[in-house]
Amino acid sequence: MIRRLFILAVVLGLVTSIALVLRAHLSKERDTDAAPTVVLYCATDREISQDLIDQFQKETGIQVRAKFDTEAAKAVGLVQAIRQEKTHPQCDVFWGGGAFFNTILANDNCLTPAPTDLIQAHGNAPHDSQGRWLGFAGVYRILIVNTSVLDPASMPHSYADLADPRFKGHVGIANPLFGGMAAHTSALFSVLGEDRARQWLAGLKQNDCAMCAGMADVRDRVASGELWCGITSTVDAHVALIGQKPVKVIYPDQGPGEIGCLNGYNTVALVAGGPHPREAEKLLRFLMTTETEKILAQGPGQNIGQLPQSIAEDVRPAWIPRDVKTMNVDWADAVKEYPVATKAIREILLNQ
Amino acid sequence: MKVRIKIFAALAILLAGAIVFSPLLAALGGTGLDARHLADAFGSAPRPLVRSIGMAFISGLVSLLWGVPFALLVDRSSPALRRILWSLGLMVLMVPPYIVAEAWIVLLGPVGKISRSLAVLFGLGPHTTDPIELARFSVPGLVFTWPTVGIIMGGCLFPIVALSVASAYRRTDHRVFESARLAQGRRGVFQVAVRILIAPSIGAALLVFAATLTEFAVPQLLRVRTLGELIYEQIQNGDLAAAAALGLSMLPLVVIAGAVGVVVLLRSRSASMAGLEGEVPKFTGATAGPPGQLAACVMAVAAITTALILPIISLTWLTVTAKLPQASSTGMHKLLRASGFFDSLKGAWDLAQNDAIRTVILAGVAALLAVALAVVMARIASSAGWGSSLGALGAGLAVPAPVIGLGLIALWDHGAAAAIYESLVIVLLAWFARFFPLVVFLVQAALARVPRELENAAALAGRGPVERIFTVTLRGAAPGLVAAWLVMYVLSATEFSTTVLITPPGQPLIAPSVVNLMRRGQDPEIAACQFLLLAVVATPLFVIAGTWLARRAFR
Repeated sequence: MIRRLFILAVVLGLVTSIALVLRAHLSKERDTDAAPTVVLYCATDREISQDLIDQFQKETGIQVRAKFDTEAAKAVGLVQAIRQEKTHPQCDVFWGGGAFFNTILANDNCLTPAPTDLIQAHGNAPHDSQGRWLGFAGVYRILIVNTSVLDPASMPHSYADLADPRFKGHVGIANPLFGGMAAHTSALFSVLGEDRARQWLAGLKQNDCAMCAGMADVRDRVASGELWCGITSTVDAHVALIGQKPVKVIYPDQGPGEIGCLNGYNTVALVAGGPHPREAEKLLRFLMTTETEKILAQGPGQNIGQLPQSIAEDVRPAWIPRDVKTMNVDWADAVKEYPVATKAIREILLNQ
Repeated sequence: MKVRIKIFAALAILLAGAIVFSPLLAALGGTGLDARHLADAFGSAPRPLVRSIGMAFISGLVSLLWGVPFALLVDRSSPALRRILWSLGLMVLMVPPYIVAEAWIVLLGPVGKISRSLAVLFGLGPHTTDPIELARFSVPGLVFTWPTVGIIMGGCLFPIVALSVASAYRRTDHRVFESARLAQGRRGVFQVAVRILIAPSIGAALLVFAATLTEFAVPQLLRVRTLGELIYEQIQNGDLAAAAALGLSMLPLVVIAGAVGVVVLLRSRSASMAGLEGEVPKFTGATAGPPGQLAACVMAVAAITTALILPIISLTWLTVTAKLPQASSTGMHKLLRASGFFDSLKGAWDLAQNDAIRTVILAGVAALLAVALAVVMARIASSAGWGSSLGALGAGLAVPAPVIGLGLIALWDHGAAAAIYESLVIVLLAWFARFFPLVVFLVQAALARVPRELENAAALAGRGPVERIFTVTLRGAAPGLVAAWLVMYVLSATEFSTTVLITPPGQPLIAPSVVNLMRRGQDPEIAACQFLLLAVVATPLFVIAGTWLARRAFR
């Protein structure tokens, strides 16, 4: 009995493994023969992107084989997978990751420029100088404040205020060595200059700033009252707001001469040498529309329109104000500042 | 004949090494080692490394503190109570540590539901009616510290120690305790017990130490900078070789801890899941009286509080206290985002049901193949007298999860091999690289507990070598093999650090999907997602283990 079970189990396991390989092989053949397919690596959360993927499939008949990321993987996920697959790319379109990591990928020659007409139609919307990534669907990096512990008069109004001693022990940011906050810190080094950015980090250190597991973690800690204020994104803050948590969103640095709020917009890029270039272009064109931005603005992403027509039509969630002043970041320069910023973070925040 | 066995054994060990270490070697070789970057990376390593060792040490200690008394008290209780308490104890292994850490923050953090209430109860809260001052009150707790990481990991992994101790205890002829009592009284009993139980306890605690050393998710949640974070940093910088090399710095520790642990366990012939095995020696101790039963219950509750009771309380709290606003977003995920627990659960299930089914099948197949392969390898290696050399596989536990993922890409994303990379087989390979060493250890332990005399008797009765394996060895080792299957299944189904990197497009698996959904969620959504993950992992286990337990165990 045991013998039969053992043999059956092993045969079953081997057959399944072989079937999996064959299935992948045959489906690849089918891709090239009949059903058009596009491979999407999606660093934007699945709950935000899945509706649009479904709609694209319905409209075009092109099957989207998507691979998603998790915040736990930080930028160690899909960005590194694309880098690692460079010699034999599997991915056609990369959605998400932000301008910072897309610029890194572009510098590594992992991305290819979008069609010229699409870049031109993009107008003043954010994009790489060579069109290797296109920005859309904005997300603001805001200050989230607990309204139970801070009265309106004492709330912070600038990223710099997080270094104010009156918040000592109760401010938080996502770990600046990783993901979006690494991009944010590098952007501050680019915009403020190294000296001022280092001063800001020193202020955070003196304030015992908590380095949280991510921006959603900052939101949760502020909503619970453990922290009083911190930096998070509009998409994360919205979750706390509709959950009726005691929090308020503040758009930082909006005064005259101030740097403005960082816009961590979505990005989409064509991967160089991707296996399905025609379908990839169709997906790119589908995403770069005002219709897409409207869906994203109404969905859990709560994004702000960036494309020229979307700005004209004022595509944004109702709770986000119209004229938020955004930081003017040269992402190519921010990427150059990345090693400097990382060194400073280690020296100042981590005492290394 | 002897030479042929040695050749086979060498091939088996090489194959096992290739399965476990090929991703690391590909990562090390793929990008080339840059001396300057390497020196830079190692320059910042000592402090995080010391912290990693510290938390692993605490974890081992905690697993001993919970595991040893749990095993001894529970094993002396009545069969029915023992069955219940062991089931509860083993359920701890199914809860992913990152869910436990989240529960600790919610309940015991600076503004935790329990910690703050207790502080107020003991008069430590602010003596004022000012609502802002009241809201600002927080407990300067210990949650965000490295010892807490150790406490949580120890709490999550204590059943490993408990099972090992229970195995040794059950194997003991209890007349030795009686003799010791007559000769030297209680002191004598204590001395004998220590001699019998120290090896399996320490051996299992060393395994817990090794497993904690490489943990990334819990330290990250608790804001503790460990070597794992440093490795992630290197990967983000695109320096995969430096990341792999940093992983190597943990290697000696993991090898020493893991190998010593395994050798000790093998020498003490402690099977892997004694609690499930129902092996009873000829002379057993008497069942404890009511005070002993009560003590067993108290001990069991205390032991499972860290990693089972607190997460359940946290999940329930989140579910019950969640406010239910109207959906303020559109699309298929509005239910998931802004509704109650059951709607969220339905939403999560609608979105991830295919992922769940795919995961259950794939993890089941992975566990099956891993156990089968481990049986063959362990058998061949021990026949050649090289069984302990498989202990070197323990070094694989020191390889960081993302390094395995990226190494597999470097290894398989080429030419004809890409067919493997584009299929779910790559996920099987990743899970093998991560967990195969554990399966090998468990299978070795399970096979070691089958008395050689039985096989010799079967040989005298005319059974051939293959027949002996099937009729005697596998039958005798079956409980341990099932345990190995369960461990591989649970670890694979909940793994996400490597899985997220190498899952083929269009075929997502449940752990990354759920972690992704949880990330931005509101309370009911988080609770629903955690529940979904646990349910998916647990359902097949309950079906298999329940049937098996009802038939075989705890007699």
